[in-house]
Amino acid sequence: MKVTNIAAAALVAAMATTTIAQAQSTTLYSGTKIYAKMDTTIDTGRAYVGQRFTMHVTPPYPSSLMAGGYLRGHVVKVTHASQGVKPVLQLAIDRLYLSDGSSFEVDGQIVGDQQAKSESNLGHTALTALGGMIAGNMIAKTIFHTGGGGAVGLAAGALYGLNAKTNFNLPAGSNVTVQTTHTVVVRRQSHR
Amino acid sequence: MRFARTALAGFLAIAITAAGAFAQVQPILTEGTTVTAIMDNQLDSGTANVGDQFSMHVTAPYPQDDDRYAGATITGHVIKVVRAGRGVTPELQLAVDRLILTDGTVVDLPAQVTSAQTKQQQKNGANVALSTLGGMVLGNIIGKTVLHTNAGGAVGAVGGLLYGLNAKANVTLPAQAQVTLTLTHDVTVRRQSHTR
Repeated sequence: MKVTNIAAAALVAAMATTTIAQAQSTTLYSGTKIYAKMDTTIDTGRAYVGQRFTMHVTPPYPSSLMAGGYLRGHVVKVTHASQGVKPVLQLAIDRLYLSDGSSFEVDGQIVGDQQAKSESNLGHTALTALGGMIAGNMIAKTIFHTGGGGAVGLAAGALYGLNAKTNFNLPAGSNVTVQTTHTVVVRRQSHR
Repeated sequence: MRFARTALAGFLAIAITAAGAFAQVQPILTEGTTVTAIMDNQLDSGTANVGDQFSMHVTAPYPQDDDRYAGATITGHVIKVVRAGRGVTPELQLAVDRLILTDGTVVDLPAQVTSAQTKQQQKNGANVALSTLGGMVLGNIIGKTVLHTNAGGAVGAVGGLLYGLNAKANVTLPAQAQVTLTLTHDVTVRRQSHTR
């Protein structure tokens, strides 16, 4: 009878331990969305491949385990803006850190972010439009002996100005949506 | 003594075999490694949907100049699509899932597409011409009746042209297009001991 009691107690203890262990782990399936806020600003004008960054996980959490956690990543690709060259910023997510210090390799991509223009090209466009108008007017009147050159030059100057692409940034504090691209099991450490 | 020699020889044989096998079957692709591949099927931001699967074949130059990657297949899926619209730039974002070698070895591949030979579909020229013409007519009417100036037509034409150009065209990643992937984590390619 005594042996039976001990065995039953051990079984209950084992089941309780297993339940706790299960409650301390979660599976982030491929496609899971994680919402976060950038800790630092990344600018296409100054960023470089390999540059590290972090972001803090925000609600709604895919799992309560992720409250207070943060993601670490790096810049995979960056293209600086210039005349006719659109800026590009591509980020990869490397690891997820839980509030208890445990960390896990995570593969993720940014699928939504609050980009901000680093600079405005409005003044530049106005200037090129004005220059185009003056040049068009002069060329039309002196070479083609016709009116309307100013309007054509204005359009050409505006298009040229608009084609001067400007850098953008991902400011600190901006919201980011990360989507996992592979499944990962996240387990909270039992002892710390 | 004889037993000790036999045991030592056996141990050495096992150690050498294991070391050889380890070195042979576990190449590591490090973070930042680029893999060049050719798309097997076409993706279009106008028709693709999130979750659509695609595949591509690895082409030379192979990672670490290792010919064992020749003919390997990479699978992936679409994770984001934005269809082109007026003032809406199209987007096609892809996730890479697995690398499948010709011997059947399958590895989860943590990588991103960092370069692709996408094609911007042609803007509808007739639509741009129409909006330019409409802008010119409208600008001319407003210029002459409201502002009493002759420049309205030219200004309207420019406005119409810009409006027409702002209608974005969808982007296509054609079959046979070259794609470059960059690994975002180190990955160990554990080759299968038996071909499936």
